[in-house]
Amino acid sequence: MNMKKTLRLYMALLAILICILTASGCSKSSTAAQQETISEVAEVASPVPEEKEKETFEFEGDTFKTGAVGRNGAAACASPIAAKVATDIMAKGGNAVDAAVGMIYAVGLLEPAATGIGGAGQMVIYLASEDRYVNIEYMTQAPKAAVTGALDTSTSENPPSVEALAIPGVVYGTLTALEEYGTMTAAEVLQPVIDLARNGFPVTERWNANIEGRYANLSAYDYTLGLYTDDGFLWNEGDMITNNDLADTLEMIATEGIKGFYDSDYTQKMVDYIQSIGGVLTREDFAQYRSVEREPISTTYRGYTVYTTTGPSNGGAPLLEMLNIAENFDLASYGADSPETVEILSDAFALAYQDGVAFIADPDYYDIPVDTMISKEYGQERAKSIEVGSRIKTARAGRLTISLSETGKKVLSANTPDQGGTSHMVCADSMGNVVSTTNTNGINFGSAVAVPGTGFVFNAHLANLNNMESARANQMMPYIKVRSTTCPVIVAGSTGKPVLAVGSPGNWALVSAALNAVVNYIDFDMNCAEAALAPRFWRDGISKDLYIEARYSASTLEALKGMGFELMESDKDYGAHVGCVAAVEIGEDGLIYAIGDDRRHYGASAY
Amino acid sequence: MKKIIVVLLAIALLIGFGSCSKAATPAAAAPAANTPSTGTVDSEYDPNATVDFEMKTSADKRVVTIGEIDKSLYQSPIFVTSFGQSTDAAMLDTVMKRVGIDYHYNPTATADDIAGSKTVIIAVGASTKGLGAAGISEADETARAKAIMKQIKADGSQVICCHIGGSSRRGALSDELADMVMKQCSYIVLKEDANFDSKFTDFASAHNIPISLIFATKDTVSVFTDIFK
Repeated sequence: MNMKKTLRLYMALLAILICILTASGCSKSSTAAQQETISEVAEVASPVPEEKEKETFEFEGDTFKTGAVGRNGAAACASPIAAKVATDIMAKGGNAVDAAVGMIYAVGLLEPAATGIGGAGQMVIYLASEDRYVNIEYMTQAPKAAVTGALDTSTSENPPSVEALAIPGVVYGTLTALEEYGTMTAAEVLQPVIDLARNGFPVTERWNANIEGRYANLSAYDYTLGLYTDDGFLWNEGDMITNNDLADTLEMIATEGIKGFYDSDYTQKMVDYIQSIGGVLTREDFAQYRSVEREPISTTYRGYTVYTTTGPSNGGAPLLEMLNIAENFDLASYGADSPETVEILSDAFALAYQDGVAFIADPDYYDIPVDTMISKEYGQERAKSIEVGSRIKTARAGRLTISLSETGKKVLSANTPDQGGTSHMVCADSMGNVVSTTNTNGINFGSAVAVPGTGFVFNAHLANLNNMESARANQMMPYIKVRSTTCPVIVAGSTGKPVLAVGSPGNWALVSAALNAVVNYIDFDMNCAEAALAPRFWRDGISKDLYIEARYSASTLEALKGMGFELMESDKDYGAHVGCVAAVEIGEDGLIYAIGDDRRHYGASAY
Repeated sequence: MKKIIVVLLAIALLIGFGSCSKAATPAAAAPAANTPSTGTVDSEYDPNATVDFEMKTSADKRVVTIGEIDKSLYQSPIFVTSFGQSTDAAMLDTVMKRVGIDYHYNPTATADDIAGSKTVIIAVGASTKGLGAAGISEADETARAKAIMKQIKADGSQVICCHIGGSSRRGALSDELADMVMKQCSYIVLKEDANFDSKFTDFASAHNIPISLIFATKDTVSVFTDIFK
């Protein structure tokens, strides 16, 4: 080989190395195996700096590989792609609030049945720099026309009544959270979601299952059906689809902010369409909407402090009441897989459920007895009606009172005529900030009403209000915030700093899922993955129907039957009917663990 | 030597561009299937993991028909019903509307309802949720299906078996209902990913029944337009 040839060969080999190394730079999501190969090559090519090797961590209990562990940030939610949006935002310097807001919009794109900008939500935030817990409530709100008995708010028909649409809160609440506690602009956190919406995202099994479940509703509106299906039919799983209309809407929100959605030509376009099909929302309704920053409510539980949402969430206070009741029993001695633990928790659930239904509503319209409901004394009193080994057959609400507030009285006196779809998300950053947020359309795809050109569906949340004059609580009236069980949770350890953020979708099952997860974590010393995936149950209100998973031991299931429980769907190892947990755990080892529950194919991301 | 260098360069370029183009798609944001369960990684997600047999249809070749269809067999009145109460029946209803012909639709039709129909199109596929929503037990649905097939036999009606929900419509009850319909049908329309074990094509071949394999549910529209228009 002469000199010239040798030189040409070396040049060629160098070019090959450059090509391969370029590939490593392009492919962010290369597998670990690919990265190992690339790193080996990099060692040979000395002029190119060696890529920092990724750390790997054990994650015990991550049965379905739906978890992730990182040092700098972690997120979990209904879609691993949306969780990645969150961690990418944190990797670019955003904090957990920035990441949570990006994730909320990403889940709205990727799981539109459960949540989206036509819906509502609640967010509990831990702000590390202030060592403070905050609750941003952005539940839907009744329109001015929502006089008791004046509207048909039924959601039992296909499609739900268009008069059941409530004023959505997601845009107001998320942009407020960003403005108050984030570090990035709306444009920055929305851009990755806009890119996903325009460039495409894969159809999942759950996407199709959600469409199937509400096909009749969606079929009522050509635009809505076209938005989520292949010209009226199911996509094939794995097909890449887009939502350019939603991308346009998000771009508008990114530039025009809250006003762009709530008081602009865009608002008028939404109102005009909704009214043209019989809805009652007006531009004035949108313009007066406000999210509210509230004090989170809390109770202690075996040395931990559990923070969640007050009214209009009727899941938060009952959850704390359940924990206060459960604290009177030594669950650890019974074990997680025992009839005693299941019975105690399901009885506690039934008792607190009754209080949640009877005594919680919008705290601006009612004086609600939350302080009593979540007190230790009340928990002890309620616990007395639980007899271990014999389920409560008739759970009654406690002797509490709820009354109209001055605002509520004023509004009512001027009362003149004028399955679930929920999704939970969590994230934590390296600065110690933690966000737990539950967002909801009410029922899957809400009202199924999507204003042509906007790319999202409106909720049908007014169905959650009592539409009768005789209602004791939560009565339909103009501008009342709509009640929902959404109760994102953050658990603080003995130092007062968060150790776990957790929550679930699932109507009342979401409260039970959060209860199970918190008890699993605290009483049974499980990590967040184990706590999320352990077998669990949900009692259907106060009835004897106990939805329970098959992974409980035969002896536990038999004993529960012996107590008179009717075991429902007990042939499934993992059932979506018991909720679906997303959780992050801030480990003592300095790592952040995130888990997405496989029951609804949730996912996680960390870095 | 030159040739070797050119080949090596080409391979390297292919590796390079291949990885780049993967990273440019949103799907690449989702981690690959063989990502380890531990470490600073994201949850697994493989949207293409369901189909691992060689399909005859594709995004470019959306319908593949095996056998000769005698279109003259399918006369009015046409009745569309469901065996299994999945959403496939509602989709079939949408298909027929798009085709634009007269038909009767009742997913919970009785044998009496379909009596006199010359063509009965049956959307086969069981859904627990669908059965629950319709308030029908599995046993009742099976009994209804048997009664309808008996009526069809008595009337000498033509039956088109529509299995258009794909692999998610495979299971004990779905297969039982499909077997019941296929035994009496003269034509099968099948979303091909449900044929991962060749169940349907083997049956069609063994009984000389024409079968149209479709790539996606919406391709039923072109298949039925061809049959009925």
